[in-house]
Amino acid sequence: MRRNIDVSGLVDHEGGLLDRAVFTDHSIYAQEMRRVFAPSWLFLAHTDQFKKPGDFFATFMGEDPVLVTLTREKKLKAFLNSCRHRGARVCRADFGQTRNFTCSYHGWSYDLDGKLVSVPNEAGYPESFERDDWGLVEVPHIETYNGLIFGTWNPSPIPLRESLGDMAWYMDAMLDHDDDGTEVVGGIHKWVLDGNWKLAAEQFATDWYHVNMSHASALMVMSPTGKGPRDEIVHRTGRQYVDPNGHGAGFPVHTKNRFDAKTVHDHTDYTALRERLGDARVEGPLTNGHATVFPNFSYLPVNGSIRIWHPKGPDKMEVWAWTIVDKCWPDEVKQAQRLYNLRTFGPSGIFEQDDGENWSECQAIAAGFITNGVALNYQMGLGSEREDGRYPGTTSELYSDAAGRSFYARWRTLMNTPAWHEGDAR
Amino acid sequence: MTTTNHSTVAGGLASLQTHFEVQQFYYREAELLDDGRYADWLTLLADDLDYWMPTRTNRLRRQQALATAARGEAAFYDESKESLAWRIRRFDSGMAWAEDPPSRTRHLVTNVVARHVDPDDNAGFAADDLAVRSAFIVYRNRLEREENIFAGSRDDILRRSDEGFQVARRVILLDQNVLLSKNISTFF
Amino acid sequence: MSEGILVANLDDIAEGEGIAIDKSITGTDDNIALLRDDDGAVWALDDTCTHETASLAEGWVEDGHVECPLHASKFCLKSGDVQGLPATRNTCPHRVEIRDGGIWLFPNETP
Repeated sequence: MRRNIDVSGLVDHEGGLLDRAVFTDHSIYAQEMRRVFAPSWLFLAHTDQFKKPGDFFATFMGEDPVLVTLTREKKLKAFLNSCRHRGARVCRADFGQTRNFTCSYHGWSYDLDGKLVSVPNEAGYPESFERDDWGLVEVPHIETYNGLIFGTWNPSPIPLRESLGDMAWYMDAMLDHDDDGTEVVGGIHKWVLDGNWKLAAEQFATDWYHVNMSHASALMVMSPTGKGPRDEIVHRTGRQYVDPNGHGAGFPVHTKNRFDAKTVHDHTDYTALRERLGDARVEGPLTNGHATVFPNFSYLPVNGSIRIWHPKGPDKMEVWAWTIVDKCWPDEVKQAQRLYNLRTFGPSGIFEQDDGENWSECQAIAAGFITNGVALNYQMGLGSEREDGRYPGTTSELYSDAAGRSFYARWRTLMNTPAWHEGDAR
Repeated sequence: MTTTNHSTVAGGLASLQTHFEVQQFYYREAELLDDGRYADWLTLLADDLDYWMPTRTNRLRRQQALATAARGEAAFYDESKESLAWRIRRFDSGMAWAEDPPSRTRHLVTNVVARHVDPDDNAGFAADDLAVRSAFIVYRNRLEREENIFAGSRDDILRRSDEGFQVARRVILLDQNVLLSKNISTFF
Repeated sequence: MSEGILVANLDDIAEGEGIAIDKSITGTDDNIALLRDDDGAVWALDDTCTHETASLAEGWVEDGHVECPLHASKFCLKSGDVQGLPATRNTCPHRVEIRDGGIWLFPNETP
């Protein structure tokens, strides 16, 4: 028996309040796996990670381990990384090239299409045993958008592109500089954080506000004089995009916005990009800002950082961060962006070091009885949401909680909606 | 155990005395890092420093050779002396909140094996310079209960001068795949 | 000395790889795996691993051996002798000649 929690009382979208139980309660977390992760499009990998048939990549959808493969027919597929026999992982490598996945427990082997191709002592099974019935559990839908691969367990999802809505316009500012698109730098930064996954996902959707304080030390380093950023950096204006499906993106807006890494900036043809993407994007999300694709994929245009926040229980997450670059950039430009990324973000990055501490601090005390009952304030920019006539969809000020409010509103809707797998059972 | 005549044989094991001097150098370095004296630490690094800490992955047995990321792939550090100085400015700002209050660290350096550099294999170095491998454990304790233990190896080339040693090349291999820490806010 | 059968061209197989030739072409009991080692030499073995139903043509070829892609038993390319569990039986090698870039198979003749 399972009792679902009505979370209406925990998310006050109109009043801008959030109940801390959303970060600490175990039943709520389990319900998230059932009703938020299972039916949603979840980020898997970048298409550039799959060049030859046999290329595979191990990741998670929620807490489920999956293997993403490129089949012989050059199709992308994904499977639960769990042998159908006794459930061990069929692959313990992070990524690579293979022809089969053989479970090291009893030797059951699967091909790149997830078909069970070899069962030792197959004669020992009854007549009714058919290998075709025992292939790896396949993720039913995989779709890509401009290099990003998403998958969902939902048997009847709305198409990925439709679920992105206007968010796609903002994403293109990073993903669609030219017809060649992006590629990934080899390897991934992976590290653990003590905090609920939503602390990170919401920050990347809605929070420019924290930059001046949390990242003060990094802004000091970046300032040319070393005495601190100029006023115009600290008091920036811009827009924050608010999406009904819970996505969010915020960015300062300025005609002279540019990439931070000098080599990247020098190489960039802003004029050509204005032609292709339009002034609004070049003056905003091309080079700046933060974004989250609901539920747990985020990115930073300034340094090509794309990342996923893997949930590992209500109070832990594991971050996986890639660096993407434009395919057509010369090598020294790619290197410059890669180095700028790892020096600013990633676990040793001068910006990112401070984010981890914020989230673990919020999480560490949230479970106390009195503390847990004190609501959190998401009221910045209440009532400021509007169509601004320049940026698509609903937007708010750069400094606003609007995207955070709509992130949790979407979360609330999914949490209160039985997913396909629940049938009539409540 | 024979006593070998240790001259500066290229590729040869350095003398007992040299090992002692290298270890003392490493202990001094560890002390500076544990005391947060990063500016002083920088003086132990050569101007042409190359400092690299690649990520590590789990691979299929057949692809084991790829388990350490290649140069140009994901790395925790990929630095010159200038870029390290740039990073260190963050600590000087007085606003590095992730280190306020500061972590308590203890750098333990061990397993030091020093060999004379073979100049044929290492352009820009002399047989007097040293190729040194060491192992480390860095214990970090933070706030009330946060603990991290970083273990790994360092492959250094130390340049020797009358003033002592400087680290010219360092490759750090951390013995972790997923970094089991919320950040890396020290150096190795 | 039988006449060989032209079964493939050298260009059809990259070093370290293999291809399977159907038994209907070779007249043998089993399909034949043509395996090209990393020194460029081509060898031929019965394609089906002696352990389970795996195709050795899909295996990993290097250093005088082919490794079965399913459970990793190795077979000597020249003698077909098995090296390493879980397979326990040797496989059968067949002689191969290269003439003018063509691969000629001599079924059932030992190399």
